[in-house]
Amino acid sequence: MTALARKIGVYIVTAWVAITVNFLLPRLMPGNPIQTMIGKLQGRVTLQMQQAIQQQFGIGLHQSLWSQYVSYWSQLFHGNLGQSITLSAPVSTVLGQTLPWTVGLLGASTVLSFVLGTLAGIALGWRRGSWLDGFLPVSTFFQAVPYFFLGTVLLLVLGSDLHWFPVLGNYARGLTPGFNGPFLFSVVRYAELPAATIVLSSIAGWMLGMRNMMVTVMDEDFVLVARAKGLPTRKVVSYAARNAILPSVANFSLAIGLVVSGALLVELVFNYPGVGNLLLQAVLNQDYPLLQGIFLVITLTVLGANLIADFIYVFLDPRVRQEA
Amino acid sequence: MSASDVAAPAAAGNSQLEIPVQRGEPVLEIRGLCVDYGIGDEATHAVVDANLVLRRGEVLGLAGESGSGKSTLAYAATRLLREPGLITGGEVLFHSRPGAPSLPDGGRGANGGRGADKHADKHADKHADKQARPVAESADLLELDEPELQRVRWSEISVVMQSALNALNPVISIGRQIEDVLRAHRPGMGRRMREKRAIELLEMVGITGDRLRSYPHELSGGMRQRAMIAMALALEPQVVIMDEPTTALDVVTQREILEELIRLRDDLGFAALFITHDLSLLIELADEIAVMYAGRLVERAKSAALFRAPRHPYTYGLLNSFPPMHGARTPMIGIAGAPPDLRAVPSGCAFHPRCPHALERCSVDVPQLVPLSPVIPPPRGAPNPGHAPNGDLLNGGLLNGAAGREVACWLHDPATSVKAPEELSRPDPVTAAVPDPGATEGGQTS
Ligand SMILES: Nc1ncnc2c1ncn2[C@@H]1O[C@H](COP(=O)(O)OP(=O)(O)OP(=O)(O)O)[C@@H](O)[C@H]1O
Ligand code: SF4
Ligand SMILES: [Mg+2]
Repeated sequence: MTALARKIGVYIVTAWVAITVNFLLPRLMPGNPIQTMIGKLQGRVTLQMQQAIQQQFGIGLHQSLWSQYVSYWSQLFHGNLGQSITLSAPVSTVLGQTLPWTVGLLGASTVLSFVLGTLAGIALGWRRGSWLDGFLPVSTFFQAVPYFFLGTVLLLVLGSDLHWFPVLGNYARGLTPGFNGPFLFSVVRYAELPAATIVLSSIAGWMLGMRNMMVTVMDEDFVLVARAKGLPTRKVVSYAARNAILPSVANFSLAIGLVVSGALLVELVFNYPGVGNLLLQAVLNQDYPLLQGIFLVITLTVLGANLIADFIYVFLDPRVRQEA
Repeated sequence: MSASDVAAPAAAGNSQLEIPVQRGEPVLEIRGLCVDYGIGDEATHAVVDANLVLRRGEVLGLAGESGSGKSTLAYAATRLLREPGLITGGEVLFHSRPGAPSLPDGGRGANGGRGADKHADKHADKHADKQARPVAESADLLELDEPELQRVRWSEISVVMQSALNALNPVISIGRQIEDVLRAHRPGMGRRMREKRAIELLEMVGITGDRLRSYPHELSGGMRQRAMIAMALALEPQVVIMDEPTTALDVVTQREILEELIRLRDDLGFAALFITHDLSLLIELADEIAVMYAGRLVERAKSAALFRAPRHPYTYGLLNSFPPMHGARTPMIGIAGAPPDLRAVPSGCAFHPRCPHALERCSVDVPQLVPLSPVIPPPRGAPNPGHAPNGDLLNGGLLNGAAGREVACWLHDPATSVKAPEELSRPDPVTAAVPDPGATEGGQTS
């Protein structure tokens, strides 16, 4: 388990660096953008609000950087990410409303894409040279098309023109959010097209990776031995797949960054009220507190996803488990 | 049946009783086997017209330099050939254990070990599945369909490979890998029983039971190969193919594994096809040895006969060479030149460019693997040595021996008027025990 402990250590350090950079950036940026922003806000927000922002960024308080840093951390531990300027609400509240949508959509479609892509890759690798190989160029095509372009096409054709899928938003207006059938059903329906976009665009990567690994692994002696053992074909495939999947899981951390950035764009295309949309608003409005909160949350979420992938890897590969 | 079986003591007891009955009968017969890599004109003929018989309870050594087609032959015979390997001809007859006499139904009384019961079971299976086809006792492995193959595999023929590190699945514990075999072939066996049997097997090869949940990388090289051997014997197969099982190990471990194999063979009575590029390994182990060169079998004889009285110049060269411990890919010292590339095999006898005794016809005609004729007529016009009254007989019948040895070399063709050199016509120890060695020498030197 030392391997996992070390991994967790690495993630803690990474998270610390991310948070610290997040703290330092606005304070060290040349031209004092915060001051400018507050200037622009004059008259648009309450005095109270202005003070809250000033305190958050340590302006006019004449505190040392260190004590600002300490209070930043203590705020963070209390779940206080500051006040959003344009939305006049605590950043944590705003994120609390949008993050579940993004995590739900992104998480579900990433997992779906990984699972489907891996299964397809296993089949393609196992049946190398069969008609199944015809899928390869198709999937590569989808991989090459940018997320937002694919999203737009799907939106226009399948959503606006054919009305096969509901679009724009996250559930039908007029439904009461909560744990009730119609609402949940609507949520799923509205997520279908954005999820399809993400899955279509990202599945090829998993599929090709898995296929190539399967082809490599199938030449290994232990697969030959599995056949020689007279194991059922299903079992022989699983012997190979258990090994072939390892690089895919290891690559998850690299891939997830791309997936997240692409998926955020998908939210824009479908006007899905998730973090991607929020980010766009925050940028347009120069809402620094909100921006910072979003960055922090994205960073931590990606780190969390990586940690999960690492746990899975350690579970799958006994060799990393005992590395000292 | 499973409960009492597995709990029964080690199989050694009952196997010893079985072997004398079975030993010596053919269990695997390879006839005219041809294997190509690739198709059409570009094809490499990796195995050409191979004929071999593996006998029950015996070890058949298959020797030859790297690339001579040993593994290809073995894997083709077991239908485990890798792409783009293709069997282009021949048959591989597998003979099941003899039926009624040695395997009565039900318990076997005092020695009713698991082996015996399982055999009986399998027979029941076979008969049921194949509708008691008259040939159910023998089957051409090359004709079997996938489900039939799956049943024969490992329960009748198992494989031990050169590198256990590669042959064992790195992400599955050795115990699980053994239990997977039992799960596939012994559906009646419960989880507990499988685990128990796996521990029993590991202990049989000298690995303590607490290693059951160890992964291959947690074991030493020798232990891994032992685990592989334990797995190969899990279903008490009749045939174990061993493809250079000790080559990847250091000398000491190599020794230990060989001794272990000899012991297990004596206890369990399986037949083994033992592939190696190191002939000297086969001295103690093999009953019979076949030598392969450039895709063809060039000599086959009882191991004592092959060692003391080789007939083929290549065998002689192999016996006098010292294969390097590591890196099997270098050509052998002791034989000039390198083994041919199978994509461009020399015409005639493939060995002729390296053969010190090559005749004119050797570069034209391919010598077939034929039984050594028991009587070699003296060269035409040669004077009869005369000083031994039975000189001709010695020179021919007793010298070559009739003990079913075969060679593919024009030197030993009865029609050839050339006499084989001394080192290739020593008395065959299997049959030459009777005559006076002095007389033999006299017959030759003249
Ligand atoms: N996958 C392959 N594709 C094409 N040709 C092959 C392939 N595998 C083997 N061969 C050919 O078949 C020949 C015999 O190979 P094989 O592995 O059976 O030899 P071997 O006697 O087992 O050698 P080694 O001692 O190195 O294991 C090789 O010389 C090579 O030319
Ligand atoms: S057939 Fe000719 S070339 Fe081949 S081994 Fe015999 S003597 Fe040498
Ligand atoms: Mg080989």
